[in-house]
Amino acid sequence: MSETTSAPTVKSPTTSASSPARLADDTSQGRTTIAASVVQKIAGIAAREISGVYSMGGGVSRAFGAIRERIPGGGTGGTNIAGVQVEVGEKQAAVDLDIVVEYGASIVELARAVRRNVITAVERMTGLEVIEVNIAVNDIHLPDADNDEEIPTVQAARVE
Amino acid sequence: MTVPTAAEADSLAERIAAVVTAHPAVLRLHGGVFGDVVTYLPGRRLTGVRVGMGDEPVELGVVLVLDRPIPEVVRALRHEVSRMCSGAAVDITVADVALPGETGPTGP
Repeated sequence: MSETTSAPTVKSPTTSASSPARLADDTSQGRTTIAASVVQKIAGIAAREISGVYSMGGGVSRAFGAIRERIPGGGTGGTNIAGVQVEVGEKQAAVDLDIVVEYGASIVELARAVRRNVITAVERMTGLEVIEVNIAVNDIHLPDADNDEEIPTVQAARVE
Repeated sequence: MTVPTAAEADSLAERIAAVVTAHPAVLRLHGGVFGDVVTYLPGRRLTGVRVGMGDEPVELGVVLVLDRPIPEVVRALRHEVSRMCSGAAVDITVADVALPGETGPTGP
């Protein structure tokens, strides 16, 4: 009888953590609704985790994000979801991303890594199956594009 | 079957709210996507819990902390709440999430 003590520990992992159908099978006990903003935040965080992604969003949403961050009480909640659009159904989700890459990153490799990370994060955290991740690379960030102060002095010298 | 009397349902909603917010991954209750997950109590409103009449499901709206998979939390909440309501269906809406460090948009 002493041999049976190891049996319960073996059979404990019955369902894998990434089975997306798990949300559907509890319909008799009630529905689970995951809001689009939840998927949006998770996808945005997962995309930013990849080094080589400089920022996210198109020109307009990035401009609004920069303004909102400076308004007291405007909150930082919008920064994670800039450049992320999602469609969420009962069991599936689709994600569209607008990203700005850093110069020097291989865009194909980067997009592949972003896609993989977003799918893993959303499927693991929400249990939804991600059917597609569309990535639009909007812009490329050059290393010296931050030095905005120097450009006017150079141009002033040229005018003189 | 959850056929509580009116007075019983109010206290049940408050007991459910206490159990749900006690879960470590629940940041706060939420009124759902349309703000309709509300219990009207004498003098105040309890947002995030609605106990249906008869065969209607119990509704919960929650904001979760993103430190563990959502299905795991939802399953635990459903189990707890369903047991309190003698096996009634529990509809759960995850309306928003917050990173483990942040406290969400309801600041001071």
